[in-house]
Amino acid sequence: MRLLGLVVLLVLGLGLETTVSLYLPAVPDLLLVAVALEALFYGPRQGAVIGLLYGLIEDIYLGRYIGLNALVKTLVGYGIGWGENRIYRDNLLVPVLVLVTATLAANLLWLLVALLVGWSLPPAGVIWRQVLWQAGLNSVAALVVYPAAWRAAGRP
Amino acid sequence: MGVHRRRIIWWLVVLVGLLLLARATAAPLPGVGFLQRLVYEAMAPLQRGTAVAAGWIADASGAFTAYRELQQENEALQTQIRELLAENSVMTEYRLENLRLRQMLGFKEAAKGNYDLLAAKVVARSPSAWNLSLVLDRGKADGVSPDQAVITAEGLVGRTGTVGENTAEVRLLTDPEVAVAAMVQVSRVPGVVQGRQDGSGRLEMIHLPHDAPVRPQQTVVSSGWGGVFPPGLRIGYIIEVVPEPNGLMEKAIIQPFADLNRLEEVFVVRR
Repeated sequence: MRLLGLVVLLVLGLGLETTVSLYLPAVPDLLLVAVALEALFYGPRQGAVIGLLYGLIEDIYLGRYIGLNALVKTLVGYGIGWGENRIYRDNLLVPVLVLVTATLAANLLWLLVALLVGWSLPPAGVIWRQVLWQAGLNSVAALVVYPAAWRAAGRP
Repeated sequence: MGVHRRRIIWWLVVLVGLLLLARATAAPLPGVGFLQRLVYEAMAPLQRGTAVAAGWIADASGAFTAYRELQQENEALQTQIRELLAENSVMTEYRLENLRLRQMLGFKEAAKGNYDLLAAKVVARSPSAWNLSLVLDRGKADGVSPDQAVITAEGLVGRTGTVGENTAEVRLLTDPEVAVAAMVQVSRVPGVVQGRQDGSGRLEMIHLPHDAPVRPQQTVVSSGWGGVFPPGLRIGYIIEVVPEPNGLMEKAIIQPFADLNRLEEVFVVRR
């Protein structure tokens, strides 16, 4: 059941991400939202595994630099999961702050790895604008799904 | 080696493997295309559905935005219309002024030789409801002196009263105290034209013999007697002839040619 939920989340996330972005000023990373919340409720190992799988599927979808998103999401999933027992999750600011941090970290990592694998990057201004927009969109998405994630994780 | 350490090494291998894979797949690999197509096919129905729904939402929000834009555009256009109307009003004013000045110029050219005309602008009116006097922007400095005739291209307006250095008062024909020695142009019947006291803006030519050949529509001009008004200035036309109370005389009611309520530019006849 949980596995089915994760698959649905993957398909929905990727599907929405690739279509809704047509109408938004930036591309939200809904898979990152899923990975971050998974890590927040289930810990670093679960976060890293889901990050690896979601990232890999995303990479396959993109068709090039396979492993780039997988690497980034694995590390972010692990990092957020590491804070699982250190964060009071019963505050709505938590998903917002977690996603802002996760988005900034993921993009920073992505830029570093992208440089390592030879990706030619756009100008810094464009990157910053995209990252800030994405942080906002991801936070909003996290706020929307946070109550459901809370209930799914069996929290009171 | 502990489980924890083995796990760390395993993860490190995975991460390094991912890094190498990413580097190796900078250009699409042959096998990847198949996997990519699989993911594409799996995503396609959802993407189509989402795209349609997102399109509806975008259309709806677009309609809202368009409505707001239309509202803003409407407000901007309303403002523009108001500005253009104001501008148009100014332009109309200029056009009419231009017409009047052209008319005056034509009249001045035609009157050259007969009269020494000085163009003047009406700068003030009497605060009285009857508009019995005006103030011109010309005075002694321009050669204006009291008791000079004031006319327009249409006809006689009045005579100058008090004259300052740069201004001059004009007593209008409708002022009962302004009397003009006049005559009926066709029959040469003489009389005195003065303002009626009924506030109608009309004049009357008094002391006409009861059998004088005076008829409606006849033109009345100044006769030149008395010295203030030169002869031949058009005053108005007769609209009615009525007997005076004594039965021996009659008077003609005259509609002035010049519109005394709408004077903006006039001529002072200096000689």
